[in-house]
Amino acid sequence: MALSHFTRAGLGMLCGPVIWGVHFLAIYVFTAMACARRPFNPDWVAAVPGMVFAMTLLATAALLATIVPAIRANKRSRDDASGFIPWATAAFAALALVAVIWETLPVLLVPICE
Amino acid sequence: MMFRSAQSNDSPFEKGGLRGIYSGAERDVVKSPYPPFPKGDARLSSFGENPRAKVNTGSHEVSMTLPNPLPRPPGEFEKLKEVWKPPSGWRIITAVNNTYIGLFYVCTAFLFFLLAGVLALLMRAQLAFPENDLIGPDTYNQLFTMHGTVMMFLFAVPVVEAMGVLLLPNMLGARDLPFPRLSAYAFWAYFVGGLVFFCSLFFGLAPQSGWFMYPPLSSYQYSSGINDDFWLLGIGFIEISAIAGAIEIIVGVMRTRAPGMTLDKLPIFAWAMLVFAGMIVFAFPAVILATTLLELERAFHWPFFIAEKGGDPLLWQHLFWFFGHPEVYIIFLPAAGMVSMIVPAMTGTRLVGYKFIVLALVGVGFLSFGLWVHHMFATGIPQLSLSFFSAASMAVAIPSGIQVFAWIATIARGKLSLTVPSLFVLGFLFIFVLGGLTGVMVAVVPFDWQVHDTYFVVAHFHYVLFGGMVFPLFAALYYWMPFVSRRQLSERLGRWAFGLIFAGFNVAFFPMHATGLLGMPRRVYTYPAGLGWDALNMVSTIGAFTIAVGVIVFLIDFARNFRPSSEHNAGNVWNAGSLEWLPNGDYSVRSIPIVTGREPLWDQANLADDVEAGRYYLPGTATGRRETLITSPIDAQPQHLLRLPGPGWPPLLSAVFTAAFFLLLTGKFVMPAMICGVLAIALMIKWLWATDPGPDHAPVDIGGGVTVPVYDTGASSTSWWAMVVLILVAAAIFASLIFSYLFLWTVAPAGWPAVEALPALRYPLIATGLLAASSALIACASRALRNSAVWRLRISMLLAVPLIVAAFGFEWYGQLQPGLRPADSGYAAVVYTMIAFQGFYAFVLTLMALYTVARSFRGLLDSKRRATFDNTMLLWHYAVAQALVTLALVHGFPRLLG
Repeated sequence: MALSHFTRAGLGMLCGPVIWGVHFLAIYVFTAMACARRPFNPDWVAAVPGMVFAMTLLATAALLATIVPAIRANKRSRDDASGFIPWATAAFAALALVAVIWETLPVLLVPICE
Repeated sequence: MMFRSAQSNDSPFEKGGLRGIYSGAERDVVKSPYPPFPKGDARLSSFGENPRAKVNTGSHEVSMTLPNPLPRPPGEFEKLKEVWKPPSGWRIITAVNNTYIGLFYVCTAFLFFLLAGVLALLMRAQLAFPENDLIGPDTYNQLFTMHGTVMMFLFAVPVVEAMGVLLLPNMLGARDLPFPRLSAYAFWAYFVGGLVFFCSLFFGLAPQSGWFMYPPLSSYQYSSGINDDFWLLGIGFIEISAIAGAIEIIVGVMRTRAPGMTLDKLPIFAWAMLVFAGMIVFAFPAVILATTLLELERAFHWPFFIAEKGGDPLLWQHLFWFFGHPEVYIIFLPAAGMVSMIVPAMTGTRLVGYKFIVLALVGVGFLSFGLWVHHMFATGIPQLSLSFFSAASMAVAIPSGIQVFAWIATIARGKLSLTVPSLFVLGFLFIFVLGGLTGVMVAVVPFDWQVHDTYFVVAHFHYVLFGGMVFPLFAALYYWMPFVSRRQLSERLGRWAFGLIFAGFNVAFFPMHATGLLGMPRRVYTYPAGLGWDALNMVSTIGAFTIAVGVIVFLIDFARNFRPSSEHNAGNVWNAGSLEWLPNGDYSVRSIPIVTGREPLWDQANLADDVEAGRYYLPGTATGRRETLITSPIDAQPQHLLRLPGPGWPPLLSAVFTAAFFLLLTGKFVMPAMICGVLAIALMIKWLWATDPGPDHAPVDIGGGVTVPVYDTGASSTSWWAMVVLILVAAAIFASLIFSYLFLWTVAPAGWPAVEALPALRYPLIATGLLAASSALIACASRALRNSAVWRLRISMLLAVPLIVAAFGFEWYGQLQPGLRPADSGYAAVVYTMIAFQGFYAFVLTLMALYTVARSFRGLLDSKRRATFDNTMLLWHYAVAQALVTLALVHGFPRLLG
């Protein structure tokens, strides 16, 4: 059915950017809350780096799980039209992967709440 | 580009696609070029006598059979022209054709560009000399507030949306957008509301707290007049207009493409507009909520942003910039899309890196939502959080850079004709890249702290916005003028306009980098002499007036050469490859082509002649009314024919009353505002009454033996799609509200009540039961409709209404019981706002249910004609889900905290 094809393709294409969005929000919100509630829950601040790395690992795994099958589907495709959606799925997820890793790096360099 | 033969059809992505259209060079005979259609009443037939067209695949030429034979029946073309003909004389204002509404829209947006430009000139005149007394501080405050607001809300967003309305149907091979009256409504609400809003300046009533309206300055304590209300309520209609346009564009791009225009063949401008519209759907809700909260604070003293009462001014900044930063890209991406259309035409070569540009557009669309805090680097947010946003700000440079390199590579591969559109594109590249570089500079937090609120930032965002959007817009006006006018604009005057605007821009804004680095703050109406700012300001003022002279040259050119006409336009003077350059008229194209490549006019020999002769799909009007072909969202296969409305007064009048509602409310004229609101709703109902016509017409043959139905319901219907997009908007508003609740808890946890101070559990439990029951009744009504049990349908719907209203009433009453009042605290304000949203949906759904039942009584609703009911049902279930989440949060979260 056309719509289910659309839903499948649409969800696949947006998978990478959505994972990026969830990762970004999760690390930002957790850090912001840990700092805001530092007087009441000082342990939260210490947990920030671990939480950020854990989220990054999860996001990386999810993105790789998106990229690899999409690349395979792209290789199997026979022309531009059929290869476009798997290509876009892989490319969007790859860009998201770069952004996820890049946005995690400040944890290694910057103090958390100062 | 490579095409495969008809036998290459085993990819899952090809299932049901237009496979088989092409044959290889070795196989010149095409079998059946049309796909099987999903409807049972669709049929296929052979049409071996039909003419053939040659298609260039890049490596070889193949033959394609065309759907309709010649000669066409007498009167077919005349009838097509007749049904699409807009009213003549002054009644032209009731036209709904996209070409007319699009032109009105572009011209109005350009008018606002001129008006906001005049405000800028006044400011520059004031700043030309130190200690100048030309303009006083209050007027200056109004000038910079209105300049920013008008440029962003009344020019930049509307003009790119307008270009979409004007160009997309022709570019996609459609006859019009799927909701022409919605476009008309969006335009007229914007036109009337925008002009009245601008006129507030002449009465000293213009807003004066800056275009981003930060509280506490903009709240009732420090801005007690109605000036800032004009901003808050005045942009309400612009938000409505933008969202209406976004719905139109999303459904238009996804569902009205010409057969064969699969996603990999979608024009880049259409991709850009799709991303643009998607961004509006998720970005505008944040500002809709923010303006609602601030107006509630100003009008009823609900303290969302007052720190001493458990609110926080930073909440406004978060909400505003969650909209405001994507807004920059909302403006830029369509402009980039225009550049991606212009560059191939000007260089005579295909766009380099098509797929990477699509990646860049979507990538920018998403990443731009991770940048909002980079407007808040100086607000004391923790360093690590700032660094996440700093990193995201740098990451967005990757997709932006991809586009720039793709354009440069295309120019390098082809032979660039130095026409006026090319000059503006080159100007754009130069200026935008400089703006991008200073963008990377201000993404570095310590540097940003140094230049925060200085003229460096003014220089940066003008390089980005003027360079990234205004230059491409001028390029687009010169480029697409032959599409809408009998004459193209003058090359000679265009070069003068470009030279003056380019030089003027750099003279005006480049020195501002230095002015800012020397410490001059933004938004000051004057400055003392001798700080090193005098000469720089004078140079900037000279530059600003030079831009104005360039714009005047453009206006002279425009007045001399713009002669609007679709049917007798100047035509494809650039030898461009996209579909909008096909011969066209008020009906768009004579017949709807089958698209086989990204540049159909380059790939398909004689396409223009074949389309104009009526050899492709739907060469006339199949139902005797306006109609467009609806295709599937991925494969672009014909699915059904959508009948479209013609001209009429209701959209226009409804828009006028909507704008009047907001503006009268601003002036505290509550009763007249309510009357206007009721009239606006009544007119909308009148306009909607004729929609959902049902399957009252037999399936029609559109050519090539392809028969499609003229009505569809469920997920295939365009109205379903529109409702889904609207629900996404509603969900985004609600997500912003949840964020507000949790944000205020983070900053002021003491305001959250102890468990014993919460309403008794019976209130939310009863409300939950009522909500669930209302949803169940709607589901029951759906089954009844399927079984043609009309009375069961009516009773179920009429019973569901009091249940959803009562659920709202119980919840509101329950909160009142422990003595909580909305003005008490930030907590109370946000809780009552969440419940008020529930009440708003109860009100809307009551209207929708009564409307649906009324249609049932009039015999306009049955098991096959159910689009109206389906839309009500979708929104109903969504509203119930939102209300249940509200109850869980409001009653569960404080209990969870203990």
